[in-house]
Amino acid sequence: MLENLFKVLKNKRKVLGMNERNLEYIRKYNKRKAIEIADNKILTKEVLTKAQIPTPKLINVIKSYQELEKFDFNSLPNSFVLKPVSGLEGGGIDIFYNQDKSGRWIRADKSKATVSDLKKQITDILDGKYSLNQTPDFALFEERIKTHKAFKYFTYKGTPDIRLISFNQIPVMAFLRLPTRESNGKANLALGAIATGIDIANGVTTFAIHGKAGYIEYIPGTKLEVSGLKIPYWDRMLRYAIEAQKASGLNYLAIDFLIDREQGPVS
Amino acid sequence: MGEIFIQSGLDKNVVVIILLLPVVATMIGISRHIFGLRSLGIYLSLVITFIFFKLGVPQHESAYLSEPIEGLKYGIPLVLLVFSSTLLCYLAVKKWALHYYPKLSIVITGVTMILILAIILLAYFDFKNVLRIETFTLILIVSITEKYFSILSRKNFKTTLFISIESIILAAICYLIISAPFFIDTLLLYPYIILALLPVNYLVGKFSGLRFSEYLRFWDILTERD
Repeated sequence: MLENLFKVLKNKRKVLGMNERNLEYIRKYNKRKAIEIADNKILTKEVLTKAQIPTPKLINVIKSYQELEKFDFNSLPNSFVLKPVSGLEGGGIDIFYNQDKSGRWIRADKSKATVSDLKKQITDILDGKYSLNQTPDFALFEERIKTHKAFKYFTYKGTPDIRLISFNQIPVMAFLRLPTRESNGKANLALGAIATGIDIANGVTTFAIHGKAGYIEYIPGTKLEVSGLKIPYWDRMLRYAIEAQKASGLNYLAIDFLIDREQGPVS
Repeated sequence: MGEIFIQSGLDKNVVVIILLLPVVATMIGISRHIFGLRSLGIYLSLVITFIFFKLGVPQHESAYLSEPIEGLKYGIPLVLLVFSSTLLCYLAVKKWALHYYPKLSIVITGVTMILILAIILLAYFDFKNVLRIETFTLILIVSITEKYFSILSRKNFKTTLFISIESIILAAICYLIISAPFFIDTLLLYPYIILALLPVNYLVGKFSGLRFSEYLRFWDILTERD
């Protein structure tokens, strides 16, 4: 018991807790203005594009009920993503993979959405259901990123994403989130996705946890080791993270990447 | 000192609640940053604490102390009833393609109807005083319904249930502390001690150490040998 206590005191600095992250990094090194930009997906897209960092192509933005009424849903492609502009923790994001013969869009779990389902989802977004403090919001459509071949056997349906933390223009930490059957194709740890650490120097995965259950060595139900996976385009993502940091003025920055089969990493 | 408030025409009950509000708010801030409870439950906990408090105050005029057993006895079933009826109404309207706010209004209407029905049924079977509802608690009930609804519509059922249980437990702990007669009488006698909450909150606001929940979560890392 006492021995553990000493170990904890000694190891405490190894863990960056939320209190410390918020106070000593986000608050201290990021300007309010820069945070406002980061919280808005459209402004973020503009800043990143200016810095020549690719982002998923914007299909359309809906800013009001009038625009929603006038919107031609037939102009949407077979596959796209619908998002709130100022969503929190991934709430309100809907991903469609294909369209059936009667024009309904199909989700990862095979459920389908009609035009009126989409309209309802968009009014919810406009009403602020997913935004901070339920303030009115805009809805955006963007292209769906197609999973890169490197992840083909490691992921279930959805697209894995990579989060890089960069501090004062030096990438310091990174992890990969892999959607699973349990998480229903979503890269969300709380729902049961897998997260693996990434060796920042060479972009190879290290240790992994599954949801909140703890460490794992293999992708559940397979003999695939979660460690040792080389993330494609690693150096390019490191460079993008630094460029994004310069462009945004966020000195403590977390940036997410998806890797597209053809385009490579997009943020 | 507290007499000044009362002489200026305020009800002693109101004075107690005014003085307790910042105390409970502070306790909840501590629960987040020192213990690591999740944010969605914080507003809920504050409101539930005062539902417990109000229900524990005996219904005669001079009463201002809250009796812990009474507060929990009336409070917990009421909060659980509100939660389960919100859930029920939410499930009923979930699939309807309606705007968010009208949907919320339907749920609030449903919850009120269930509450009225429960009161009538309980009276009919002669279980008087099982549910105690008054204006103050009713307003609080509507505000927790709104909160439950917004969590339910954004998160899944499991998360909502977890947050609800967490907030009820936190509220019960806060309530048991603030309902101590010694505590309330001291506050009434020396109301200015709430000024001491300012430095407490300042310190909590500056606390950058690990949260209790993080010690548990990262125990493996914290206890490993180099």
